[in-house]
Amino acid sequence: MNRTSLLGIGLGLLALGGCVAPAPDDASYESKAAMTAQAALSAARTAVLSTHSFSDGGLPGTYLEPVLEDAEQTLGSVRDTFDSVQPPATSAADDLRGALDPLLESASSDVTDLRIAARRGRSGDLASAADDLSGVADRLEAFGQEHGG
Amino acid sequence: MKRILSVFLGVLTAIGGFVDIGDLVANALAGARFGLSLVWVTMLGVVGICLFAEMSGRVAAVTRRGTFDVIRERLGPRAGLINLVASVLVTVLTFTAEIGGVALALELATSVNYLLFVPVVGFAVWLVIWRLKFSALENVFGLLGLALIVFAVALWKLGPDWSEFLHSIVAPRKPATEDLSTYLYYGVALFGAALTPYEVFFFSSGAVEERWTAKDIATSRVNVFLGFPLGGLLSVAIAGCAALVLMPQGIEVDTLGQVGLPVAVAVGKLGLAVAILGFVAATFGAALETGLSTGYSVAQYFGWQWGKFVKPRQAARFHIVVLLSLMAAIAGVLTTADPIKVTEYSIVFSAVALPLTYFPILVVANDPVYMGEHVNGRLSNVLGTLFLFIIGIVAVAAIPLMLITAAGQ
Repeated sequence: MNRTSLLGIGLGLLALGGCVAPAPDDASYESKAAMTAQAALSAARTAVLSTHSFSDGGLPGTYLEPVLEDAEQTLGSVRDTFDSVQPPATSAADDLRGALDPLLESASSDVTDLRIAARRGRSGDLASAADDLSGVADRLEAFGQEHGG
Repeated sequence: MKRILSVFLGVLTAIGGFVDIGDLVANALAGARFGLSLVWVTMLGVVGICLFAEMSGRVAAVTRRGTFDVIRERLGPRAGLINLVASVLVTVLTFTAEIGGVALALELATSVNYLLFVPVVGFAVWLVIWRLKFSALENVFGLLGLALIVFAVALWKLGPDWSEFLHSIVAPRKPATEDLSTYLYYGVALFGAALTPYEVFFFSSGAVEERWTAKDIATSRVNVFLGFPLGGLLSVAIAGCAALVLMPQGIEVDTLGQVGLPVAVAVGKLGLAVAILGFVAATFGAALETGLSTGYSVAQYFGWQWGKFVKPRQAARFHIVVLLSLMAAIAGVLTTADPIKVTEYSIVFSAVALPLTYFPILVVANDPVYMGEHVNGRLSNVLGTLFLFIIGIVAVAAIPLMLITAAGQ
């Protein structure tokens, strides 16, 4: 194998490595986790607030649906971005990921439930999904505060 | 009586036409994240836009020529070209954001995906620019933009502690959880949103379209010094609503839907309908202004016939530039780039391009050869120079702040 080929393979590996965002240490991973929790909290609380406004008659269904779709998209993208970060090989990082990932999954799933209920016009399902999401949002907020967000 | 009505109409359209997608997004974003601690930047920006819009309106009224025409003649073609390229790039980016803003507002009203509205909005913008008279275009969308007063109503209905509210404005404090660099980055964004370059090009070219003369300088001053600050109050109301409703919930604004939520909470469905009307009017009106501004700048620089005061056939190259910029804006939105992100970048890049727009205006307004007895007074020069200094700092700091904060993350 000549030098040019080796250089090509090396650059290829570097490029592939670049597809996974690095997290050099526990502190920066914790900071990323806190920022992720804040972004997810924002989307979750937007969904809760808009659903409550809809239930109170302050918001039409035509407005609620795109707001929920945006919140759903934001949560999906926030989760994907966090999962693409390579955590440091420490138990603290694994614990952090283990605590945040289920919250992101719950929030995402609850917002999807809200969107489905809103399209079907089921106000009972909307209320219960909003309550669930509200609880997840509180836990995201606590996570963010605990980890310096 | 007719003159008083005309002045009154001018002030109302100045208020209603003041807010565009950049102001909507930047103020809601800053309010939700920093409370009222950045309102001082908006107020500073309003002082700046009043100062330079008055100068550019005066230059247009006295010379009866467009800003770029005079700038090219006064500063030479090379300096004028740099100015032209920077302004056109920023204005087309802003145009893209406005088209996206109209489509997003229509999505909120109908639940239909905003991308489906983009070609329709683009066609409507072209049709209005092609067919509607300048005065009708300016007045209709300026007046409809007054619907955004619903944010002031919402703020009043939310019932804040007014003394604390005002104290937060006059004695601003950065939230402890935010970095100074992020605070400054959003300050730059708000400043860029308040002083967007197209506003002065449109204002001065509009003066030529409406055949202002030196006799109209007083009317222009009333429009600017009354209309723009009152329009600025709408920006403060948007920030105030976000600070009262979204900030306590930890909601950070990244969609247009979030901007309107405080109105739904405080005023209900009717208020929200008025807010959506305001979104559509403000963004559609600004789309017309940015589209026309692109045509004005290019045609004035190259010395082509321009304007809506002549038939389209007589200003064919001007209309072609407007059409090309419209097509670029539509293509930009159809890439599915998030219109709110495009807005955020457009206002930061506006901040970078500010000195290229405002420095030549100060030079021309200060030149007795062009201005005769209407040349800048001492106060205008002192304030103008002071503002250019601030604008220079903001322009230099904008990109480094964007990189340091990862665009305000």
